[in-house]
Amino acid sequence: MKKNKRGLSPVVTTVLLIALVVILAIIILLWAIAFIPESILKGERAIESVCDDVAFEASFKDIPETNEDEIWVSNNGNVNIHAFEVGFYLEGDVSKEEVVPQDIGGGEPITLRQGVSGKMTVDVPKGTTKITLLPILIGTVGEREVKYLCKNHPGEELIIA
Amino acid sequence: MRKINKDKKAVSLMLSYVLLVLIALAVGTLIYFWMKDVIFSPGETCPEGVSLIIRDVSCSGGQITITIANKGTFNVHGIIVRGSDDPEIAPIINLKSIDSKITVAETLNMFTDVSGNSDPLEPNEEGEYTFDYSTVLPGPPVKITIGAIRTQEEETLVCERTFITRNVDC
Repeated sequence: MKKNKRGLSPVVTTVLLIALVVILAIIILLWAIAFIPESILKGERAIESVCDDVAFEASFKDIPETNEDEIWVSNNGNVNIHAFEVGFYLEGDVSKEEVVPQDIGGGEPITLRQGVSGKMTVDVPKGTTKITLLPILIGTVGEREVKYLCKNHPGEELIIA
Repeated sequence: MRKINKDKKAVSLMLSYVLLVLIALAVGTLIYFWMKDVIFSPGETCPEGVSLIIRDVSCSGGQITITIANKGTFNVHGIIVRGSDDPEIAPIINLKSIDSKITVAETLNMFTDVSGNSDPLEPNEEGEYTFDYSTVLPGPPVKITIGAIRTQEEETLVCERTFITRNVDC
């Protein structure tokens, strides 16, 4: 009798131990999940990996009669591009702005779908030596649409004469 | 009695190991299936062996006729054609076909037969296609770019690695 009262069998203790650890892990996960930013999806994929599939080319068009110049862009891939982060490099300094492409004919803002080209009118600061372009995509967090800058994309570099 | 006790201990240990491994496997499998779509699923892409070349170009009356050959190992279902009338600027203006062998869907020129069914350019096959530039370019093109389009798994894909640019004399 005394022997039987000694304690639980090793199997039960192990199961109890594991169950406790699993329950604790779930509780900590549910608590910590609030601090982790929600991942942005595009379709059913993480937007970071969709960025790797973005392909575009760009060309700079100097328009001498006006203060504003044009950057022409073409989507050579299969990912819709919502906008670009345009970086102007001058004397070791860089200024960045978000620019949405426009329809080449009408000038309406457009999303660059596969194969589509557009133009961006930009006010290039005097002394700019280089312009960089990084794509901005639209993804979703739950039901909400959010913009995402593809920071790890090689982008496009335009050297200004 | 001692013998029986020893047996019981062995079974308990074995069971605990089996349970431990099973639980670890079950949790691992659950996490894998939960995360695999988000992390691992690659987007649909064109295969490596898709390739087009421009055999010949001729211009007349605001139209440009391009002879294209499929030098790859896969069917090509359509093309993107862009032109530029400025030698300093990359061809970016999309040219639309006026050819009966092509159905235009926005900027995508899809190869079709007379009934409108897909009629891909097969490997080593050549095709001559006419495009209008007079309505979209101020002057005759000095450079053109072409890129292949493929339809696979019911998806239309632009093959980014197939884009080539050539100077033309119109």
